[in-house]
Amino acid sequence: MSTWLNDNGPLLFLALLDGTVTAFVLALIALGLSLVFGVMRIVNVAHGELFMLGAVLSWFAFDLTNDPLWGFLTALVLAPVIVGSIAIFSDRFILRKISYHPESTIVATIGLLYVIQQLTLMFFGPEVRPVEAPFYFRIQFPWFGYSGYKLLVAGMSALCLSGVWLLMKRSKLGLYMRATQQDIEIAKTFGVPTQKIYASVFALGGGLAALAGVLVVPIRQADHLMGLEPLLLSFIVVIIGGLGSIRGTIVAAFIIGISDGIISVFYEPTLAKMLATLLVAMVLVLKPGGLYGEDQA
Amino acid sequence: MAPVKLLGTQGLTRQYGGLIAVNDVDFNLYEDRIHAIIGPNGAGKTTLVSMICGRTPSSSGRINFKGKDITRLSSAKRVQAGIVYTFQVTSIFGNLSCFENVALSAQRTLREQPEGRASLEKWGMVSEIEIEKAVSKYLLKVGLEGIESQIASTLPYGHQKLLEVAMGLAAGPELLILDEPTQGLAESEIDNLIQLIRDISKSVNVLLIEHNMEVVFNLAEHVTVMDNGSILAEGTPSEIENNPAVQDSYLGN
Amino acid sequence: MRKNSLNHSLLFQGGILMLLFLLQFILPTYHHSSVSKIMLLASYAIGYNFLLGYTGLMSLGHAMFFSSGMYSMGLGIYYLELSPLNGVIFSASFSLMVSLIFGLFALRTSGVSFLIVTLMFGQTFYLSILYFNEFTFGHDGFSLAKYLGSFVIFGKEYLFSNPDIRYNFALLLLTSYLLITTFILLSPVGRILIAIRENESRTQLLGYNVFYYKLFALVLSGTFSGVAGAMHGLLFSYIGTTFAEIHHSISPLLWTLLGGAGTVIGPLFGTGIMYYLIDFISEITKNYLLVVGIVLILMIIWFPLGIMGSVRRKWLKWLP
Ligand SMILES: Nc1ncnc2c1ncn2[C@@H]1O[C@H](COP(=O)(O)OP(=O)(O)OP(=O)(O)O)[C@@H](O)[C@H]1O
Ligand SMILES: [Mg+2]
Repeated sequence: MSTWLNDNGPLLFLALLDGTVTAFVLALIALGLSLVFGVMRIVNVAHGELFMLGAVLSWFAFDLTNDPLWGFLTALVLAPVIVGSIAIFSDRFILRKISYHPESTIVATIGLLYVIQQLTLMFFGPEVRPVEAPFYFRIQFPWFGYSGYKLLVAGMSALCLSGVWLLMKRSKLGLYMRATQQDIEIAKTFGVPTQKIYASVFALGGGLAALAGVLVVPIRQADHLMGLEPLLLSFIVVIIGGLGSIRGTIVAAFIIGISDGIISVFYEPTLAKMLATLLVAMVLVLKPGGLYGEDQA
Repeated sequence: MAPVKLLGTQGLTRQYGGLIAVNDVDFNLYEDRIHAIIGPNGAGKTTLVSMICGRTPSSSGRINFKGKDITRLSSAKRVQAGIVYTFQVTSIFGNLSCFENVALSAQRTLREQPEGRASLEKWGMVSEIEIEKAVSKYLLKVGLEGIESQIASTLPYGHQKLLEVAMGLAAGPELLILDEPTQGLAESEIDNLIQLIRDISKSVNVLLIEHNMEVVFNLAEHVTVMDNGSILAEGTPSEIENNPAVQDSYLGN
Repeated sequence: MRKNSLNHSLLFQGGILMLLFLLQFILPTYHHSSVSKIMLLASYAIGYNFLLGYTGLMSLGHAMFFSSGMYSMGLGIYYLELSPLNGVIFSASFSLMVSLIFGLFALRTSGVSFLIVTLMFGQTFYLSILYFNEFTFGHDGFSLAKYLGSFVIFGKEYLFSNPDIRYNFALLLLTSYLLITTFILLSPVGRILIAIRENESRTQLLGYNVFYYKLFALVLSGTFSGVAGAMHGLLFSYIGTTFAEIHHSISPLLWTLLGGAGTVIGPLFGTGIMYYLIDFISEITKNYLLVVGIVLILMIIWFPLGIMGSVRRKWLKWLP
């Protein structure tokens, strides 16, 4: 055991570090999906594309400003706003028209997925494009150096997660959101503008995904197909965490992020994903409320 | 001859969160008499019979049917055993024709009857002709003859309830539970229904939930009064009519 | 009443099938091969529709069934040296087993959960094909042409890749699927399946164990999809992972919805129209998936019944 640790200790540490960063980003993306599911009772299959848009917009910002730092800051502000507006537009002109019917919504958002992905392909092209990190800084550990930017990503994600948490618990919007989540009919009779709440939640969910995209792109580059994997991973996280529960989502993001990190380093990424999807399917089958959610039949 | 017990519940209870809809109810039903349950809105009547037919799971308690414990049987199994429920709020197949609605119910029981079985041997299933015959028979029985091809949701509400009764009959019940069948019917139609229920009760045990006292006192041979999730009183219609507690809580006004 | 419906629809479908049979003699090569492909894919969609249209269960994992049929046939021929016929039989039993096991798990959920479970199982299946790439040939897929050989009908020797063979085998598959579905749907079992789609809990309270009927529909749907996959592999001599991707699960959903979910013949129309639409658009732009997306959105908003669903509503009430 101890010799194994001696040999593999640094590798394990690296896996844990990478896993933590993944977990934070994943939590951010999945939180958007989870909020939308919790409040609006719909599954947004185009959620991964909103993440991809964040990454691609970040590349455009970098390209236009020609400066990593300014590009990063511009994207950090503009990408969530643009993507949020797209979300509001989709809510108004698609989802509202089908009355948020759960299965129709899935079909419609699959359509939206293709539209966003293909429009990106048209304007951005099929290439995989790198974006420079806003700064270079390596933290030196005894065995290896680690990118300071990655730690910044984890930190900023944590900040956003706390922000959303505060928003939900402290603000009037959060109160309205929780009321709508509890029972939309009662919320309506108490004067909650549920239509606006729906639009805001959809925009917030999209904005969070886009933000995650901006944060991640210096680490893993941008391309028009990058949305699928985070979509599936956030499904996994949201389901294991219990549909609609914030705390569960974050806990599950850590379970998935870190185990993904470890299995990917020591075994194979495909195996990690295979096991994760199988796990989530079984969780859904055996425990429909998720590990943390209240059981909702 | 002593009456034979058909159905019994012991300590049957159903909670919805903090609300106890049915509270520790021991309810007994004997063969060959029309039994009615009355009680104010929200008394727990529908909840009680829903647990009996398996539509709603019970929180605790036991249910016996014909001497067998059926507490753990699925609702489908209970229907097969002969407990058939017709819904208070109609639950028909709105997009399908009246024919299809009754046929769905009839085709299962035809399998067990001689005329159905004859055709069974040929195709492994009941023939459509037998089903058509059965459907016409049941629709005629409830006074809805000739509406086979009409889409069920386009019927007036009262007729949808009659369609429910036809579906119930077609399911081959031993105990037919009718949950407020007169709701939404006109006076003349109510008279017909009373006739129909009396007719049905010759071959089938009927448990009737009803707000219309005229119907209850006209038909029932035994009455259970529920209030607030519990049984308040039981007895013959005249006993119930003269029970002061019942008058206070329910009949008095 | 049903008898009428049966006679009408057999006539109607018979007419369409006859038309397809005759078309092969006049179609130019290009369209000849397109129509073969459409008939194969439509068979897949008909299998899909059996679950969506008649039981109301929407799946996002049917590529798993299609590819399990395709791979079991291909790998069976490659490793076990099965004859093509035995390969297809093998694939039918394999996909039957896959859908049975899958159904026993997935049918414990319903609605959106069912959708996500099917998506996840489908993805697991796809990833396992990639993971066991030494056995399955992974991303590259493989060509069956070498292992298939030829066969003899009426004293003449044919290859599976022969266009006429392709066309008529695809037509045969389509015909059998249409007939089987129509007969089941117009039987008492079909009535129960439709009842489950309309109101599941009420059906249970009519004394039917809904689970078994749903399982039956899922297994039939999965096996149909699997055999369609096997036939696709056989007639185009190629086995590959693209047929296991999510995209290939969404396709039959799109075809079915466009043609009209819950109509037997609808998926054929949906598949044909989408195939030619994409064919036409790919000449102009590579981004034909954009059109898929737009069609999906417009359809779900303004045309939820699909083509044959609307036709049935307006004119042909008896259409099954
Ligand atoms: N699904 C449910 N969820 C929560 N509460 C319920 C539910 N169904 C019934 N209740 C409550 O249980 C109580 C009993 O209802 P039930 O329908 O059994 O009454 P009832 O005697 O049939 O009344 P009515 O004469 O109006 O039909 C009521 O207070 C009702 O609000
Ligand atoms: Mg009631």
